[in-house]
Amino acid sequence: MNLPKRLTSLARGLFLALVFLFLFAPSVVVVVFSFNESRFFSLPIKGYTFDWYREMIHRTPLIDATKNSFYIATLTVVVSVGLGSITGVIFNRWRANRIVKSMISSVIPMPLLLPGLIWGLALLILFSRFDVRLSIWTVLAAHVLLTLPLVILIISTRLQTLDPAVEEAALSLGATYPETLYRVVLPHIAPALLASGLMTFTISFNEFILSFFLTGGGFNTLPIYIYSLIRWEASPIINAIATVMLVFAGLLVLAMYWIEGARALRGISRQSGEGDPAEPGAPSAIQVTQGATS
Amino acid sequence: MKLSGLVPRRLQGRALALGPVAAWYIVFFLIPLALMLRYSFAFTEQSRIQFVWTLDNYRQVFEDSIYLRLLVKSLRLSLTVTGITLLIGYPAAWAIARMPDRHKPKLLALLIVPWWASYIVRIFGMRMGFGNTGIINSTLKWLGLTDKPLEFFQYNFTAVALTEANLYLPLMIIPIYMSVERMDMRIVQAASSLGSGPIRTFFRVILPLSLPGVLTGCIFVFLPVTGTFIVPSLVGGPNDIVYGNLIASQFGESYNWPLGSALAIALLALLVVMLRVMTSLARWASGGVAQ
Repeated sequence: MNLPKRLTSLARGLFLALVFLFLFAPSVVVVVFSFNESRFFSLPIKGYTFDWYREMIHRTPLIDATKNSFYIATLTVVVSVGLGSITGVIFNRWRANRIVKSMISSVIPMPLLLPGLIWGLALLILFSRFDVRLSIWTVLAAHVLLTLPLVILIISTRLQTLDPAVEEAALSLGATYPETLYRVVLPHIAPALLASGLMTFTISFNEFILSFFLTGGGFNTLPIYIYSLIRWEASPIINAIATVMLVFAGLLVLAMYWIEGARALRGISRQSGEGDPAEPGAPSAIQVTQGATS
Repeated sequence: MKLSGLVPRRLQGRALALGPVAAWYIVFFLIPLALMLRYSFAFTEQSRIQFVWTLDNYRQVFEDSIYLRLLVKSLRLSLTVTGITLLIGYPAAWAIARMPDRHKPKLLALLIVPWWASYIVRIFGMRMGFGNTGIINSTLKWLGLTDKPLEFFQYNFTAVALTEANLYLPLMIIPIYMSVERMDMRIVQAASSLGSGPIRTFFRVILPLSLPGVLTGCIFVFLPVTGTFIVPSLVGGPNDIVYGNLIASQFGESYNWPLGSALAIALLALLVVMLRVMTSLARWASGGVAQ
């Protein structure tokens, strides 16, 4: 009885290891070849070098693109978390008509579900129709829309763990709305705010498809610059850039895990059946997996 | 009536708070899509767009066999990718759910890590693997297993499908994990103690119970892959362009925005219908079977 059990658990572990190997293979390959002396991506590796990193830091277009991405991501965090958290709070506490609410909640995740190709081009049409020059602002408009659904979902999920009676108590004891928001609600959702901020930053910083259409010829974001390198100059310099990005992303994930992740992920196992059957598992699934369109 | 907590009682308060987000959705989502719809009825003459009302673009979409062929190819690609991710993702989700509780959050976090790395970087990583001189073929040659590059690992449809599968696998695993994890294992035990074999138990008990998660995962994978265009152009061969490339090229080199809009609207309509079918299936599955 015990041996087959141990065998199945061994097989399970082995299978999972293979799955993770598949998932991580591209990233590992990218990192390894960033130190490869040869210009070509083939084994065996001849020797190790830091040349590609040295070459990387002397590229002005790369630095400009990184700056642009940084600005856009920071602004996206400010706007998206700002607007999204207010909406999350109101939406969670709003006992509106069921039909109205379910209509709104089916519209909210739309930017995540529809392919970025379609609404990225629709945005391009909008901007060209009204003669808006493509700039970091046009990219920002799209990135906010892409990340809003996640912020709203994370915040309203987090609020489900705060009993409305607590707020009622604060209100009936004489606190004003802003005071209650600041002293009661804000401390409760603070970790979720931080987590959604980190997530929003990462999504915006790495976003490709929308930026592809909305950057135009005048400027680049980092992912778009990488794309043009892949297209026109396949050199290990791409690997060096990508490695730095991966390290950065890894640090953010660690921070995220440390702040909210562990709790949120454990929460998934517990929230059995309390979700609205109209949206099968949607909120938390989206919450932990980032946008499908990024 | 339950206490409602922190909601401004008056309508103005609510409108003030929800207004900016609603405006953002209307200005940057609904209006652009409406404009796209309008463009799809216009036509281009000497690279100037004439805003008339014509069905010519749609006629072209449905009559020209190349458009339909590429649409079918896109659907075939997303079905293939959904199939691959489901076949790998279901057992993976099951395996994670059967792990000791303390490991689960770590494994789930690990699942999300590659998802946080840039989309373009992961595509680049996969691209390095394929091709005649790519890592897979050069390794096989180096190890002396082959003397010339294998066709299977060139830039082709397989490479595209595997790359997409690599990109979207976590999105399949997580929803399935959520429905498998909350499953009442006593029902499964009851089925087997009543004499049902493992295969029958899986198809009659386990699968129906996890169907909502499966369908959600399928939605998360199928929709974005149908709109893909960068992956086929970076890891596919010249014959592997799909419907998405066709749309993108109308806004680029071909410069025919009205036709591109019609192509995009046709895809949008198809996806909305599929989304509806799949969500009502999921609803039916969670309401009709699980409870």
